[in-house]
Amino acid sequence: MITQLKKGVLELCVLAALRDEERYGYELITVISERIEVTAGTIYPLLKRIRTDGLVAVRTVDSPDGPSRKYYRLTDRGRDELAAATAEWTNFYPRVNAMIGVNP
Amino acid sequence: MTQDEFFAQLSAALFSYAGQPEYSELMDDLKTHFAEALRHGESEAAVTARLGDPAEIAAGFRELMAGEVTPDATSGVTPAPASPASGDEDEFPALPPLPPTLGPDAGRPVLAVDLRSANLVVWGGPGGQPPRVNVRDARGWTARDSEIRVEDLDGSVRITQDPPTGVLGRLFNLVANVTVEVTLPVGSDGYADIRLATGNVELHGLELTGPAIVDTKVGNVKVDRCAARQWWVNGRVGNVRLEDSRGPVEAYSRTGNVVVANHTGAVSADLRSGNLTVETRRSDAPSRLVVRSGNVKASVGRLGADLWLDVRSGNVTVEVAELGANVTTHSRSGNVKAALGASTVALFRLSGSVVKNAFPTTPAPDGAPIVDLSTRSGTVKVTRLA
Repeated sequence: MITQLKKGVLELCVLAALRDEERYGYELITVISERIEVTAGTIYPLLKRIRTDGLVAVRTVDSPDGPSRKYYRLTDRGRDELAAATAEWTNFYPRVNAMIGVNP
Repeated sequence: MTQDEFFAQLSAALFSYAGQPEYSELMDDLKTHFAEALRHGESEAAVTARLGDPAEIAAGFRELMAGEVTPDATSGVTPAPASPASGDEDEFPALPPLPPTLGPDAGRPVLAVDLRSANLVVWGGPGGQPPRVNVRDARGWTARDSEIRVEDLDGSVRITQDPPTGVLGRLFNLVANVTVEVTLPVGSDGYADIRLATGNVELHGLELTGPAIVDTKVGNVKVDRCAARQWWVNGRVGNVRLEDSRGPVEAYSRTGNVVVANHTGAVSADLRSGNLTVETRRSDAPSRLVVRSGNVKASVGRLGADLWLDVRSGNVTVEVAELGANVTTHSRSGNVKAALGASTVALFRLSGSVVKNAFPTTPAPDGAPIVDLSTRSGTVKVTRLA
């Protein structure tokens, strides 16, 4: 349960981090790991999966002074998924808090 | 943890995916991540700490490759912590694959065989002569070949067998007491597709421009002095032996041994229980040798493309005279021995209990091949080839 929950939440965080702008892998991981504790390396397989699922698209940009960057951006499907997952989460977490006796 | 340690652990954990595009992509993503992080002034230790335990990343990757179906996703039950054994299971690719589908570039069928219960012997005969087929029973007499059907369609031989008739037919069907002997002109232009339910296959001096598929469900396969554009050989319950032959090989056996001796070409093999011996002069395509329980001995004259060996329980011996590509071996319980040409220059990554390394471990020039040897419970030994 916890593993699944964490995975779902991590996916939500990745989608949310891409809501307003496209980001490259390192940038994305920095943004997320500054806020929540996460095994950052697992974000790469996750990105691969949501890319296969069509939630994000990738653009490769050559960088003059470093390795080329893969920029991830949300697709329309990704936006739908983000909206659905956000609704699910906001509906879910106050109920859990109430259940375990924590006031939000 | 340093960057090298991080990648060594991760590549060991994902060993059996090496060479697959998703694997390369993950490694590239992580390498890019390191480069970016270092450029941003982070230390290697900080980067590895943030990326997390390679085992956890490997688990995420395996899940991706397995298609997202996990026990807790379907049942809602928290799974027990993964034991090392169940983790290992995931690392093995499915086996054995079905015979490859032949594309239009395979040419025409020179020999198509579909036999229920018979042995097959094929000889390469003089060029320019029409193919000959002879059917004999175990005593050497010419058998009543009514149940073996031979069609020769303009030099393309097709051999099939009628289904058994009556109780006795079905009974005797269990024993391959008929031998079909075929002589094909050498240099035949096209492919061979040979499938037997029960029976041994022997190919001698056969040369094809196209691929060769040999699949017997119960029987041994022997190939000698033959050449094909690609070999796909499955012995299933039997042994497979190729000697003095040419062309890239994929060999499979479930319960038998596989021997590829004095070969020219890249060899890949996948065995469940049995020993594997590979001896090839030259390997110019990536090759993978996977054995679940058995010993592996691989000897390559000139290695021009990457070689991976994955052994669950057994010892690994690798010899490479001219190392022009990476060698990676991974054993779960067994010893790893590598012998390399005396002038080899490589980057060594050894893990396990290292008893000897006859080569300098640092530093290796950029682009030097990587020799990555690891065993979970065994010794690692690297020597110079005599």
